[in-house]
Amino acid sequence: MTNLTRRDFLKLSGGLAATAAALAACKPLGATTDPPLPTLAPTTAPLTAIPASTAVPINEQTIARALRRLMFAPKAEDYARAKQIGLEKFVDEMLIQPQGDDPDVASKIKDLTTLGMSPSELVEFDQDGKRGKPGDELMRATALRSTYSRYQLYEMMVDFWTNHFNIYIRKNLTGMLKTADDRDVVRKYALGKFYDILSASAHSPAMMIYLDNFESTKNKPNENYARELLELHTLGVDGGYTQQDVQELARVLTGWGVAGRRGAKPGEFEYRQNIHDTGSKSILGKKYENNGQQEGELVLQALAKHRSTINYVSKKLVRRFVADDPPQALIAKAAKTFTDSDGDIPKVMKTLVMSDEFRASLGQKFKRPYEFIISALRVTNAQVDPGRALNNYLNQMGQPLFQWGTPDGYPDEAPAWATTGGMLTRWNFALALCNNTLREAKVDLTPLTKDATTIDAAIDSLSLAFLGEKLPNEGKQILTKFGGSSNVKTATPMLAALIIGSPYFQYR
Amino acid sequence: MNTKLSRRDFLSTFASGITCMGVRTPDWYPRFTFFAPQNVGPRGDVLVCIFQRGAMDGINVVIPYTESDYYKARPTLAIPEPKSGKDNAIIDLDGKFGLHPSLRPFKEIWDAKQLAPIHAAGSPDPTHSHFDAMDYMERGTPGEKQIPTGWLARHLQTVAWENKSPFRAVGMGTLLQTSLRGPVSATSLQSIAEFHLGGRNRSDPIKQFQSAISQMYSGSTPLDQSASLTLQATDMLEKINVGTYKPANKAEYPKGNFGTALMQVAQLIKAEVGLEIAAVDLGGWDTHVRQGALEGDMPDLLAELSQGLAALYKDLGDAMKKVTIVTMSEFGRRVAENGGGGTDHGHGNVMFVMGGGVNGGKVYGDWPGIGKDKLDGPGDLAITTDFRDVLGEIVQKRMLNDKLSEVFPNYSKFKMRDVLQKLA
Repeated sequence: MTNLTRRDFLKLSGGLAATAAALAACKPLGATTDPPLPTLAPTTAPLTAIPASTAVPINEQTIARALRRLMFAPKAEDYARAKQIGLEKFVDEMLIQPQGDDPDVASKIKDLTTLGMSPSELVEFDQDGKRGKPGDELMRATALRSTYSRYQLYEMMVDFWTNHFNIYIRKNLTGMLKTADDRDVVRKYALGKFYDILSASAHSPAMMIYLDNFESTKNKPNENYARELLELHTLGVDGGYTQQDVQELARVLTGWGVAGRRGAKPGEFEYRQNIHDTGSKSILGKKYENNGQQEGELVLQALAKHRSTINYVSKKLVRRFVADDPPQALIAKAAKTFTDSDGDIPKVMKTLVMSDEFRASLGQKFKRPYEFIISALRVTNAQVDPGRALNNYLNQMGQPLFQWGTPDGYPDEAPAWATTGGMLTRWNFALALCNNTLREAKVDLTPLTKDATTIDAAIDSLSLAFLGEKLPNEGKQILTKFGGSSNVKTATPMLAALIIGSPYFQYR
Repeated sequence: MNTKLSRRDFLSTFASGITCMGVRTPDWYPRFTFFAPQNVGPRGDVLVCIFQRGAMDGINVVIPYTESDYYKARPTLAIPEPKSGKDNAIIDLDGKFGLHPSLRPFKEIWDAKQLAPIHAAGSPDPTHSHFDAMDYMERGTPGEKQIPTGWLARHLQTVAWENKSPFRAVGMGTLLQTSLRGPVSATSLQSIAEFHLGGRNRSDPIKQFQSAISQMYSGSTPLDQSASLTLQATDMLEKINVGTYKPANKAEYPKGNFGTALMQVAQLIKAEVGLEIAAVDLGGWDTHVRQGALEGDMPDLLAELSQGLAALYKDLGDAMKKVTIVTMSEFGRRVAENGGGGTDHGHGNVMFVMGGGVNGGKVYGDWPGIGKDKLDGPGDLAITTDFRDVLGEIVQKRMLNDKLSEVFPNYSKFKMRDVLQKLA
């Protein structure tokens, strides 16, 4: 059989496409011109090619949608401020690395004492009955920060880097040390320079343990971290390195590890010269002579500005903030900013957000479960006390916090998440939240519809609060019919659940 | 609230819409009560497809114990020879290969000639990346990143019969396996018992909620299809008594997600809900450190694997005649162990095929050897059987699909090893 491109293959499966076209004719929600919300996006990446359009203006509607893309969920005051000062200025504000927690959040997490602990203090929890505490507190703090912080784009970036430098907290000491990694790597540099976050990650005790580098010695180097450093953190799998490069890099990184129990600072990053391979190495065609820990530092510097790294990280950012199938032209623009600014992440983000491709893509990125849950909590102004029950919903949808086992991080494409089990859990969560039956999140929805005297007006109020705009007619008709002749107050919880369970709320 | 509308009422009220939208018609209902629908050809086996994520160390699974290089390469990980007679010795298969002792539950199935290992099998692509290798294997397209669909999805799309059951293809777990992604929607299922909307007994408001949700997702996008399948599946599961399942023949599934998933597969097979494919994952095989020879991470995983599959085999009893189980892992591990008592990423591996249609009791594959001069790349077992040969044979002989060129595009040199009998 001759080589088939993806496009050919899709044609070959053309029976299905034809059926889809036929079905579209009687699709109750689609096929409208210029609806308040875009036609529901297809969820398979290959079909969502983004037109390189300059036709999407920056107006109130695009601003609202841009905010929904860049925040877990905007609040009324966010919509108002962005409309007042304009998208660009609003984005500039959101791209500033915050100094410390939002004051509201700080008061909610002040009792979580492990958050500020050093690695040495954290590994003290490695005893029966205590092991779970740092991880539990970190999950709790993370959900509170995502839900309540005003620094919403920062929190989205924290989520991005948490996945880029993924660490699974169910692997022995990582459950404790991830707390330090979250604070000293991810949060410290989420809106900083790429080299800084890369280097911090390479010196993170949790990473050294998660990817086994702490056990890598000159006699028997372990390739695990070296491989993922190239494949996932920097160059990308197609970035032009070889198996030989992986093996050489593993040798460079021998000695990079974590201080043991008998050391002065157990649990801290430690370089051990006595297990370092002192031979010369060659990586990506460059020689590294015996130079102790410095060899690894030099490789990290080279990797941070390598062409492949720039393209790979740019592409991942575009996938996260623009489209499952990242437009090549936008990757190139982002990569140029990356190069010109020496890896300044806020500048790269600004390039993305102000692009035509970004505006053309609004409302078409499927929310991952965590985004779905947090956005629902935010728009309903829920009082959240996050713990096992909320994480269990995430678990049922496949995205519990810090529990993706493999180092590639949670998938960032709709087909992974738009599953039957995932959809069912979304609906059940919407029902439980809006009917106030969740143990860890309490809502009072009555203020949202207090001025509405008809079901129609209540639907509009809820849509504006949840989506920043009204539902398209097709969707609204279904809700109107559902509400029937019941009174606004009685109908509000189920109408709210329907909007949160609707296709519109699944996209950002 | 508006007047009570059941889902069925709703469907008939909007009948004009339904005719146009095939996906909404509950035409799987009749098949709920009898397995083979009329006017379609005979269906093939149910396929249970096991993916061992993380790269299983096949050298310590079906062990080439007669090669002295095995013992040389693995000073701490090697398993004692069968003739040592110890409890922890290799379980001999054919005088050349033997099973790891943690796979003891497999022995009975081997003796019944319903189990066949295929050794030195895998993907011809040389990648040592878990993620690329898994992706290549699940899409069935080594070295090719352009075809977005999974091999199982393409099989479902091209096979001769129709089956609109929401349980036609099920991925056990929360995320749908890549092998099942494609134009034919598959159900992801974590727990049968918990697969319901708004509580076990649906109240009227929940029914109305479901009706409104189903209207909002009545288009033809993949999300609509997935949502629609979800609602059909909840309807159908409501009719299965899920609370009281007792495995037959004293089968005991191991505790944990894997055993639970297999038990639910058995449940779906016995309920005759139209299951054709179940994908089940068992992760944790990335044993770079402390792999364990007789005790530890890998022996535990082998025990879980073999106890789980043996329980399924027992539980299904006669039904195994029309069930095929296949195992795979993205690649194998380096022949020589590393300094941490583990093994690094390798290449060739072993696959297992189990079921009533298997010509079992024989180790298949051309063994390339593990002497230094026989190794591939950085010291890996070479591959002599393309994994598509094994899967292709299953597709053709047991799943009755001759369109191998569509299930495995860009591959034509199938070398069938007669691991299976053709389903009559």
